[in-house]
Amino acid sequence: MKVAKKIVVSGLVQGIGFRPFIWRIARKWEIKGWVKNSLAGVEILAEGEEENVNKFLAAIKKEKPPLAVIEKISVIPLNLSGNFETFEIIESQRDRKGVLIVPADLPVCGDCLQELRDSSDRRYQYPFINCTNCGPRYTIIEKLPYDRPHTSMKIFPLCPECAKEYRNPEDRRFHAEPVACPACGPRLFLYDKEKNLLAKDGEVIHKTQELLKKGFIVALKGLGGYHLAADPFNVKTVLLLRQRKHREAKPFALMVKNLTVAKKHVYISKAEEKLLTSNVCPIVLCRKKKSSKIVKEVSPDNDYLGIMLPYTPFHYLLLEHFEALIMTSANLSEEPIVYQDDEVFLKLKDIADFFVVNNRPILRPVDDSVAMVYKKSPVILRRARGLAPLPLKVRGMKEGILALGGQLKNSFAITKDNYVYLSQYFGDLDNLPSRLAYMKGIDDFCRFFEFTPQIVAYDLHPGYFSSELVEEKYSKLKKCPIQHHKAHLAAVVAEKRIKAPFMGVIFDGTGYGEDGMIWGGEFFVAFTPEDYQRIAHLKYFPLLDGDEAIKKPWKSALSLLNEVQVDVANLIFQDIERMELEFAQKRLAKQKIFTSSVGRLFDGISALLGLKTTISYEGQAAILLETIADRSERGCYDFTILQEKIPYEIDFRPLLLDVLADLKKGVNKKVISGKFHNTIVEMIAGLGKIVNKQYGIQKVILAGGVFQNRVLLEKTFISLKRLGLKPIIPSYIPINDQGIALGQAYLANKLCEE
Amino acid sequence: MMEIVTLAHGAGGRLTERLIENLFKKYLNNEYLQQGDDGAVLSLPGTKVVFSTDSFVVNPLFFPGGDIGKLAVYGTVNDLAVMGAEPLFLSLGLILEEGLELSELEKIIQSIAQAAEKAGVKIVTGDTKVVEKGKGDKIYINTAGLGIINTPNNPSGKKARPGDKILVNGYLGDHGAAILAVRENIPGDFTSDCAPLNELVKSIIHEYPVHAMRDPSRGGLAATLNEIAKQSNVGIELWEEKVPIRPQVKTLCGYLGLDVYALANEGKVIMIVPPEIAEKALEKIKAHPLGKDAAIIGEVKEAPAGLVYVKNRIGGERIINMPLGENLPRIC
Ligand SMILES: [Fe+3]
Ligand SMILES: [Mg+2]
Ligand SMILES: [Zn+2]
Ligand SMILES: [Zn+2]
Repeated sequence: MKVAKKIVVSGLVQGIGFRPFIWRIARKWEIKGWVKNSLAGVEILAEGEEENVNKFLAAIKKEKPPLAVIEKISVIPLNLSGNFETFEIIESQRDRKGVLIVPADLPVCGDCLQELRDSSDRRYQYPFINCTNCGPRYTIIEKLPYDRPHTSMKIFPLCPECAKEYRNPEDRRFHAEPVACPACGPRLFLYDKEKNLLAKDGEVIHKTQELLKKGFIVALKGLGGYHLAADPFNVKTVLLLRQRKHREAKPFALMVKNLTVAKKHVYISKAEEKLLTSNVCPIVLCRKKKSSKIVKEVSPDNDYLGIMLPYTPFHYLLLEHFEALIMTSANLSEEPIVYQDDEVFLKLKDIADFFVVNNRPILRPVDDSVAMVYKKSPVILRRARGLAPLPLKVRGMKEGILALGGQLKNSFAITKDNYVYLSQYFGDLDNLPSRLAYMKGIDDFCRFFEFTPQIVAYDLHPGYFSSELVEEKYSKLKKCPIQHHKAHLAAVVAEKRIKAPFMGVIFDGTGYGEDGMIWGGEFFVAFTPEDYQRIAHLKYFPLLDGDEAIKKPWKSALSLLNEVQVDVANLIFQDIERMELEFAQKRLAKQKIFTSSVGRLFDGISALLGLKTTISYEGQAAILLETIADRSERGCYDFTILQEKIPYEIDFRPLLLDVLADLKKGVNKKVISGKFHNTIVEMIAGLGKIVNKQYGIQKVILAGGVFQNRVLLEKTFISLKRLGLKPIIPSYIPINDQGIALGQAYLANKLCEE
Repeated sequence: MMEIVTLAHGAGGRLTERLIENLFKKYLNNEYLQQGDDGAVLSLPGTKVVFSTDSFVVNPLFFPGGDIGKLAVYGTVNDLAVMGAEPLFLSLGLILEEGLELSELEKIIQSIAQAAEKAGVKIVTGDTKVVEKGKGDKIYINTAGLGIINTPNNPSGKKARPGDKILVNGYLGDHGAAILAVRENIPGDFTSDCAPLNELVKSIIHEYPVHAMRDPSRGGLAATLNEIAKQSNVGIELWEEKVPIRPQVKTLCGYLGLDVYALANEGKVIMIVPPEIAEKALEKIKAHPLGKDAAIIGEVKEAPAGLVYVKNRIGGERIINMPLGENLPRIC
């Protein structure tokens, strides 16, 4: 018997060859009708023998293209029309709203790479080669649904040959929206600083390679913006880049030719390999090998190198003559990545010597994503290219929440029914271009996803830009302020769909607390997924001079010393101006702002050990402390948990006295750092034990910037597991402040119900 | 024996009378005060009158470069001046705390008298109250002032236009730094800029069409320019290396983690003027003793509307926020 069905497949099904796949299986099972992209995903009208239609449906699930993610297939029976004699792919049209999944940008695929290297192929060495399985997506889409006229490729009319491929359902390039060839597609240009054209097309690669070899710094247009490329084996070049970028010590990322070469320079585990070669193609932090000839100035403070593999055909061509290149975002410090061609010459004139530009416009700037592997799972540190704006499914999430995120490492989120869309990364919102990019990003999302905010979720901090934005732009919406560390915790609960009860350990730099203090060493217990009770915190200590204390870790050290009434600052901080030190000491007694920040405790200890008294980038003091830590050290310092009232207080003063005693004894700093890390682990374990005993809670969620520290993470996992507890960290949302928008949305959804 | 202020000084009796005669009239006397009535009858030349008031609470009362008395006079005088008005008359309200030394009060009144003379204004009415010990901070002063406008130019915070240049008559943050230095006991060369701006303003306003004019007192340049940026719906760009700030003031701010742009001034005026007259206006300001370190420090932009930012030597652009009033860390 013949039947007719309407089939709607939602999920990540656009821009990855889903329609030709449907076309192929439809022909196989003699299905008549059509398939088209819709806002809901892909819509199919299928008429055929009942048995065949069922097999067709089964094949959709079973044989789906490798990149497809099917969220849902709904099947609606229709009356048989008998009108169809063929099965066609028809052009998209606008219709009802649904879950929108915008494909993220994809690295060049194996088939395309083969053609790239095949001298008989018409796209031989064409740097913009792509197909339905690869290429730019999010960065070139103007609006949905994803069709060529809605992308920045619309300015390149297809040549007859490309048009044929684009229209042939049996071709790998059928409806590959960015399809192009040397005859009709984007072109490459090499300029000097004065914008004199030095080379075009094929010549560019070769010339650029020569320039890089000579030690020049070249700005390269990539997928989501410009990179600055430089030779990582040339100390002079690396130092020049540091000097011109005004970037003293913050690590530079590398692009490495291939895995084999990468393994010469860093240790790569199976899981790291999987992450490096995944479609996200992120920068992965891997442990350096001593034998590597990459100069240490690339990443002077730590044992890791951030490496990524080439992900565009252009990168592959360029790296043919290099083992590795520095590939750092082209920007001034704290600014968003430069992505517009007119902007690049202006902004980078004092940094880059040469510019490689192409004429395919980037519509949306997206940085490289950054990740590390922990216990065989990825931990995302910066969510950007390849991940944004893929939605996260959060069951029960309602439509209309705009979550504004944090202040320094930022992203925002919007919600649709059962989904949260987390934006790409934005930098410090006190930086003008970053703030403008962030605001433009919010407008862009609203338009793109046809989103109208009804509820605004934001951080409690009165000094964050988001608080100002709420007052000025969203004052008419329902306001839902969310405490910083609760948002950190909720983000993990949302991502990992964790059921209560659980405990949260949020170790962080600073966040505004519900009591007006600056929190950052917080323990919560929860018996429902949204109601968090602050069960304990690090004992408060005074925090001098706002953000200045964070830039000058010696000020945290001073506060800590003051808590134990030990006056050795003059002996320890030889490099600090006497006068400044004395004034700081005098002011301590008058401080009205106190903190429970574990981040500041790390800073303070780092400064006491003389590792870093004034930092040049965020987290530097703590990174140095982690780097020197003796991982095999088993010793631990003393601390007490004061349990008179809830919240309990963790008194760090015994720890501090022990550290000072060790310092006095001349104990090796590696050992002190190791013992310090162990002590922090013991604090977590100690609270874990108490909470487990009192409430029977086993799940311990760890989040906050401090947990980017691998030594701490590793030891905490071991220790908690030994106690029979279950440590949990996030995977696909950053563990740092970039994740809090998700947590804000999650809590606003639960708390702003009425 | 040390004489101090007692509750009786504010009771309206003999002691009050003695205070008025021996102190206020002695130093502040003029034909209006001499009338001795409940209010002063004033004749005001011109048609447009500007009326402004301000209260002064400052700790310490005396600081390098000034004291609360001077502040109370110049504060209101400057508020009138930046409105484009010529200040003429002030009222003087004193709230004294029981126990204040009379000699200290005398010093303050002397200072008020000098300041009024320097600014060319008369104190024409006043009042004194005494509060119990512990209920005040030695002395609070309120002044209200009247001035007249006799120029067709009337600057307003709404009138900044893209392309306009931003002028300031000298070093910024000196007053805030001087107060902090005393309070935090930090030695160094810090002097308040406390001064009357009416004469300087007058020399400009009659000649040039100043679009916007403010005295960046509390909240400093940051607050003032943020207000103007919002009122005029424009962006304001500052040039870091052009903004006159003394090195010791910068250092002090570095020590305390304070935004130097948010430090208070008591003798500074910001003028926002059309670009074509900016240089000439600058020369004119520089000719005045209170303007010898004047500079053009930035420019009004069409976008980003409502924002103030400072551009540094290497092209970085940092947003100058409206001061929060509390120095909370935000770096996480
Ligand atoms: Fe945080
Ligand atoms: Mg006033
Ligand atoms: Zn491909
Ligand atoms: Zn073509």
